[in-house]
Amino acid sequence: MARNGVFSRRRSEKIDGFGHLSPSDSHDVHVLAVDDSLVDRKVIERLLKITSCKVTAVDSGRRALQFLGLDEEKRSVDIDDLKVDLIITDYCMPGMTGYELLKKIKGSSTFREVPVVIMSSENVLARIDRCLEEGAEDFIVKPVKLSDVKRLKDYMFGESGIVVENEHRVIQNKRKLQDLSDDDDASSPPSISSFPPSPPPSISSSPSPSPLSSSSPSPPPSYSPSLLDSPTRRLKMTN
Amino acid sequence: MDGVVQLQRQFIDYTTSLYEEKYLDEQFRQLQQLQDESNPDFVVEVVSLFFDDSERILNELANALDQQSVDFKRVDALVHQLKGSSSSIGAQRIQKMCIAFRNYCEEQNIEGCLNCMQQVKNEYSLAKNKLETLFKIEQQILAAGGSIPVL
Repeated sequence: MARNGVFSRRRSEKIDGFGHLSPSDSHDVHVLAVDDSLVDRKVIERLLKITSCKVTAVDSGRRALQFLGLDEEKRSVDIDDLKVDLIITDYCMPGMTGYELLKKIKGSSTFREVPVVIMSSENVLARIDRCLEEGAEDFIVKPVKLSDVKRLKDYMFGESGIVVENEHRVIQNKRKLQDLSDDDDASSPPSISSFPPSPPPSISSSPSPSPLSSSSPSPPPSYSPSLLDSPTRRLKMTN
Repeated sequence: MDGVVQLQRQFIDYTTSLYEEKYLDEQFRQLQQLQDESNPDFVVEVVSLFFDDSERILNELANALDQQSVDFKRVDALVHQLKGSSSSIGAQRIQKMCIAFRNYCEEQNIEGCLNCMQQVKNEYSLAKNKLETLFKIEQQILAAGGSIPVL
């Protein structure tokens, strides 16, 4: 997968390396997909493969943790060999919900830097907010479309990964410090094509590499277009 | 070849009607986009999985609704599964029926649930027939050496 200079530098200059697993130039993006629905697993697997990702699909949060070696009772792989670049999980699952899985992943020193994306058929604001607060990178409303997966891969691992950690940190900090603002002029990450882009507050939009902040290299959160189209959602976006 | 052209026309008309009558929605088109030379049977495979899964769910639903004391949470959970999978393949009418069904579950309205159960079964049968017919026309086109029109 082709990478531009900025992207590579960003990945290699992570300062607080908590074992963040980033795709090396020599292998495809490896996604762990978690969904209890057989139909949905087949679809998401195909969506990911068609966008050149390697996929491991499991049917429960428990199995996901086992795969990652986070299940106390069972280990399926040697952690050193494991490179998961993205975890995409359904929200509503029997046993462990996607939200609970998210918390477990974010609570793990090995995997907390791995971006986690939540999928749900239910477009419930409270649910979305809860997931984002807990550290989810994105929230996709089902049914998942090719454009959703392309956008995801693109902003996390592709050319437009130029959008640097600065913005992410600003958004994260703001979210922690205050309630989501009612500011209607909320900026959106440049990767959303369906949302009129307004420039994010603290980012230079020049293509040349900007100095990196000392935060973990995670992409800024963005929302699937169906969310952005909803006026309520727009009101609640932070800048 | 007249035969192929006729079949292709039939395919186009039939597909168009399925979308117009809301048996299928945009998500089905999405699935078709995911099919290519390397995965030529993708749509049929997913839809087959959907059929198997739905039949399992419908059986479990019938069972759950047949109980002396109906566990509405369980019924709702099953309908939620069916709603999800039908949405994922673009089977819009089934999906919409599931939404109504879940409302009755929430109200713990047994009559409403039984009614919806019947309707969901009907919608499922219809969708199954229609999709199988569609796949049959596709097979006929391919057997006659033609290609399947992209809509």
